[in-house]
Amino acid sequence: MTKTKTRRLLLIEDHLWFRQALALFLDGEPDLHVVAQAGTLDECHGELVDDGLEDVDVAIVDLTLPDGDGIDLIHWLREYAPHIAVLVLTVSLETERHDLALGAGASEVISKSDSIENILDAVRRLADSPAIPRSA
Amino acid sequence: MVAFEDEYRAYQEALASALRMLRPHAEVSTDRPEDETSASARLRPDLAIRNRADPGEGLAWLELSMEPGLPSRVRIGEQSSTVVNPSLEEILYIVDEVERLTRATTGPEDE
Repeated sequence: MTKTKTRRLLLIEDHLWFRQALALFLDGEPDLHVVAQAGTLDECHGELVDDGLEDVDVAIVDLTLPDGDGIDLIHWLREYAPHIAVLVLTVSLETERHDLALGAGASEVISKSDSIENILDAVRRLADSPAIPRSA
Repeated sequence: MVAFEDEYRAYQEALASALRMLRPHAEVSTDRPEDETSASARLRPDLAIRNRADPGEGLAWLELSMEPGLPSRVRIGEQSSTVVNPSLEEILYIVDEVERLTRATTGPEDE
């Protein structure tokens, strides 16, 4: 029997019910596990300090957070955890914001007008893509 | 009934999926609010969850704000209230309250 590889996810989203519902959906997949969730930049830094970044494969990041900009978080993740692929999930249709996110180091930007199946596909695609070396 | 505008499709699908998982006995359907003649009108749901409520709608509705800092509005029967950035648990509480009210009004289905 083949053992399924578990992809470990970090979920940063300020809509509480949406974050919880999305985490439930993702955790329902046998190969995915949401290891930490946060609704603000502060919570996110706390979660990461408490639980560490080593085991996270993909961070799903909302760009609009109550205490700051998700783009700052992407810069932070790139600096301290370059092995984590960043998937931006945003309601913003502004290409300038998308470009800023990609420029900051996000791997992909997905609109919240997309289906959750597309989010699932993107998570798997990014988790399975070659990791960025820690020394990069 | 969960009906969000197209730009919030991921919200709609995630919430519908969670409700189906956590309240498997509830019949959860999705719809597009732009289409007035579609499922909402036909099914006459006990609870309509939308990102933009129709105040004339049925027994109960929940308008979930797309801005977490702004209040979401709830109406169950004659009772109205607001809640800011509700949790999934709070939404389930509303679902359960509507179920209780529906049962009180119509009686248990299997009796």
